[in-house]
Order: sequence, then C-alpha cells, then structure tokens
Amino acid sequence: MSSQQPVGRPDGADAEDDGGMDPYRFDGLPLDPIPAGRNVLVAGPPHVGARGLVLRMVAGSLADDEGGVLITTDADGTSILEDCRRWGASPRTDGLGVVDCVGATTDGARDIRTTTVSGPDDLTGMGMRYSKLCADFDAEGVTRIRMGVASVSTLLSFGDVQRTSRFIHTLAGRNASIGGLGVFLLDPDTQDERTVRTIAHFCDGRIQIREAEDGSGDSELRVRGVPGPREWTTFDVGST
Amino acid sequence: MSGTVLCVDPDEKARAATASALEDAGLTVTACPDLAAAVDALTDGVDCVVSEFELPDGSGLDLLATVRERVPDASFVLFTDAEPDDIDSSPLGGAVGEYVPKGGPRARAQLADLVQHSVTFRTQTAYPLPDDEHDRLAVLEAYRPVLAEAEASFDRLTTLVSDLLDVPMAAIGIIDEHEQEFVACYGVDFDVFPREDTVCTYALLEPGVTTITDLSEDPRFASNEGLAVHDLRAYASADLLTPEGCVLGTICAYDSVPREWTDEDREHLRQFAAEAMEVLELRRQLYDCRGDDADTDRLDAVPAGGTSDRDRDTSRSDASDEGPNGGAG
Repeated sequence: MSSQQPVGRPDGADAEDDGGMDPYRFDGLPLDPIPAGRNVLVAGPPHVGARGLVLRMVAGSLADDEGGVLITTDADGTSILEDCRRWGASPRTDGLGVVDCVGATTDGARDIRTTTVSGPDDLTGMGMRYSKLCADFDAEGVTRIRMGVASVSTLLSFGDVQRTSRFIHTLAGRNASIGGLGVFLLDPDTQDERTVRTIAHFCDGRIQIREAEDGSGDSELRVRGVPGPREWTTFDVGST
Repeated sequence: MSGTVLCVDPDEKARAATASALEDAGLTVTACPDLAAAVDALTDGVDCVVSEFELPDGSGLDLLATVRERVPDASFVLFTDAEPDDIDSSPLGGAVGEYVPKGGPRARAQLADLVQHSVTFRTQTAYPLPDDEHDRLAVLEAYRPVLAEAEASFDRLTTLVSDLLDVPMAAIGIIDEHEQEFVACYGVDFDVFPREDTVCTYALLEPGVTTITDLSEDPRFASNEGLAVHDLRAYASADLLTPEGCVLGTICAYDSVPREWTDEDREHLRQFAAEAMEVLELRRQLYDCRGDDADTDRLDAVPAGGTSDRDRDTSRSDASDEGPNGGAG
C-alpha cells in the first residue's frame, strides 16, 4: 500500500527507519503495537465506532512522552473531549492538540492546544498548523506524535480527490519522517471505491470496521498491512 | 538519493545557514534572495523548494502557487518566523506544502530531515506512487535510449489497436519520474503530460489491464480538464511489463463516448502490450550489444520498419533535448 518505508528499498534509504523507536501501543483495544513512522487508514461507517476507534488510538492511548493531534473539520476542542469520553477514552488534555475549522473552545477544554483554520478547504492552513503543533511538542521534548484526521470523507466533500491526495500524502510523509503515527478516518460507504483505493495507497495499513454479522450489534475490526488481528475481532466501542 | 533544493530567504545569514544545513544532509542547494530569482531558478530539476514567507517582492505562498503550476511533483516547505495565524493561506486551498518554524535550536536539523525524506519518497505528489517506483525508474533508464527507435513499431501497434478494438484513439506512453511521454499515438497528438494529469498514472497502480467505462464519472479525474479537451470518455490500458516485473508505461485505447469494455478488448490490449514490450526488449538488448562494439552499426541489420526511421530518430532526440525531459537523464 504505502511507499514511504525503507523495507525492500535498495537505495540505502535506511536513514528513514524508525531508528529503534518504540512502537505505538493502544489501550483497551484488540490492536497490536504499530511500529513508529506508519500511517493507517481506518475504514468504516460512523455508527459502528470508526470515529471512536480513531479517537481512542490517537487521544485515548497517549503515553507520557507522546503528543496527540486531531485534525477535524466539524468539531472544536470541547466536542472532541466529549467525543473522547463518550468513546471511553480519557486523554491527557495537556498532551492533546486540535486543528479545527470551528474555533470556539470553552473552559472545559482549555488545556488543549487548539488552532483554527478559516475553512475546511484550507488544506494548506491545516497542514501548517499541524506542523506547528509538532514543533511546539518537540520544543517541550515530546517527539512522539500520534496524528488523526477525522475525517478524510469530510475533506473529500470540500475538495477534489487530487487536492485531498496531496494533503494526505504530505501528512503521511511528515509522520513517516518524524517516526509518528498517522490515523486517517474514511467512511468507504460515502465514497467511490476508486477514491478509497487512491487514499489507501498513501497508508501502510488499513483497519476495516464493520457491524458483527451475528446480529449482536457488536463492532468488529480487522487489520491489513500493519501488525494486528487479520480475522474479524470484536472491540469495545465505549460507554455510549 | 540526493536531491536539488531551492532555498529562498531574503536574509543573507539565515539563507547561508539554511543552505549549509541542507548541504550537510547531502542535498544540492541553489540559494535565492527573492521571489523573482526563485521563479527564474525554478526548473524541472528542482525536487524541493524551501522558502521564507515574507519575501521582498512577494510571499512564499506566491512561490508555492508557481511551484504547483510548473513543477507539480516538487516538495515545498515554508521555513519561516511567521506564525500560521499570520499567514493567510485560504486563497491557496489545495496548493498544499509543508511548514517548519524557524525558531528553536533544532529547526534547521529538523528541516533537513524533513526535506530529505520528502525528496527521497516524493511525499507531496498529488497521486500515489507504485510500491516499486524506485526500481521501476531505474529499470526504465535501460530502455530510454531505444524509445525513439521503437516509434515506428509503436505507431503500427496503435493503428492496430484502433482497428481491432474499434476506438478512435490509441497511444503508447512511457511514465517516467514526473511525466508521461507518449511515444506513439493514433487519432490524437499527445506529447508530454505531467503525471498528475494522466489516467495512466492511476492505471500504473493496478496490475494488468485497467478499464474505465466513463472518465467523466470517475472522481479521480473530476478536475481534469484535459480529458474533455481531448474528447476522452472511456479508457482501457494494459501495462508494458518488463521481464523484471516493472511497468514502464501503458498501451491505451480511448473512446469519445462511454463504453463497456469486453473481455476480448482486454485480451487484445494485453497481447498488444506484450508485443510492444517485446519490441522494446529486443531493441534494448541490441542496444546493449552495440554498446559492446560501438564501431559496428548493427542497427542496419535490423528491419526497422521504415527508411525514414533514422531521420526520425535524429529529430526526436533533438527535440527531447529541449523538452522537459532534457535534463532528466
């Protein structure tokens, strides 16, 4: 899927290796640790917990030496925090940054570093603010960054596939370069299958999400391209 | 892999320090003080542009817009003292670039890491790259010297594609690092296109034969005005696959109306692709032999498909020296 890992590259680009960095771990989720510098696509509809999974992977599993950044088009810092708690994630607010287009953060989220762009089509502005948050974390000695985009589907509704592609490619490139973790949320049901394949190409792996077929209402995930369960596995979508 | 970086900063000291940090990382640097000089220096060989935001005669974002127009695959990094909130990027929309704040003791080292990664993996292209892109480009170099020689054979093949598949347009294109160069066309006159503007760029990501019933309904090409200009509505292509398993390019059939491609169409294209690849492979082997014994002009011993081939070869290589591929080597 991806093109930014040194594996199998004969050009000696091993300098881009994860440099012995620890993998990223996930609290309370049936996911294996994912090596540093990888990007994954989380593909699933909202009602089965795809958004919740992204929030828990990025904000809900932060180690003390890690920072999390959520790039979102339809929520501000406060509602992100509420969402996190709803999905069973209790993030360290001082380790969390949000890039949004809403810009109305209130007291409940004052520890969160919030930065706002003019609109969901200002991809340049979103990218710059993500980079700035990375630099701010780095200045505090936090070099391990988990980044989530929630969601790529919304970005696609404001811009065409090529513009969105360049944005995703650039973000994924930064994550690979700094040994971060990138998580991109996409609802495949709302997109042409060719668009989904194109976006998936920028990621190393894919986590697919569906509602269990046994009628239990459980959510299930399976993983391709990065370590993780290959068979459909139930996961807890939190206390909704 | 080394890369060529354009470094733009009005402050002489800062410019020198940035250039030096990039050079220490193994990159080749051209330094410019302002927008005008940077635009002048912006050639096809530039892999990345690193720019301050405030320039004496414009802004770094003006430069970004020009980069996306002229060298769309190149990476762009704003390396600046300006805060994101002081940079109005909204008019640019999708002309995405990177941003690294200049302050901080490790800023230049971080910049160099980011630029090097970005240049090595070409992380700002608007399209995905095949997994084996690096090997693919290396293999392509071995065939480049014989592309012009294959032109007459390829012209005949595209004519046959048009006849057999009953399509008004057919072409054979080679996809290099940043561009698709059409070696032969029937019914159209394609020359060279940026990769981000061609359908084959996406066909390259999928093995075997790619078919698209209606390009106007494919979201990947929603903003591609060139397709309508050339009256392209339906697309089918088969990979030109080397013995190593690398794809050099495609043989394509285009229709001006939507079309359901049949299994027979696919099979025909697959066979034409095999034929085209065999022509290239034989010519490459012949070229290698010629290289071993440069004084012997063995080309004369090979049926080349037309007496004018020699003249055509000459004019083609002259033209490509001036073209966008001239420096790609």
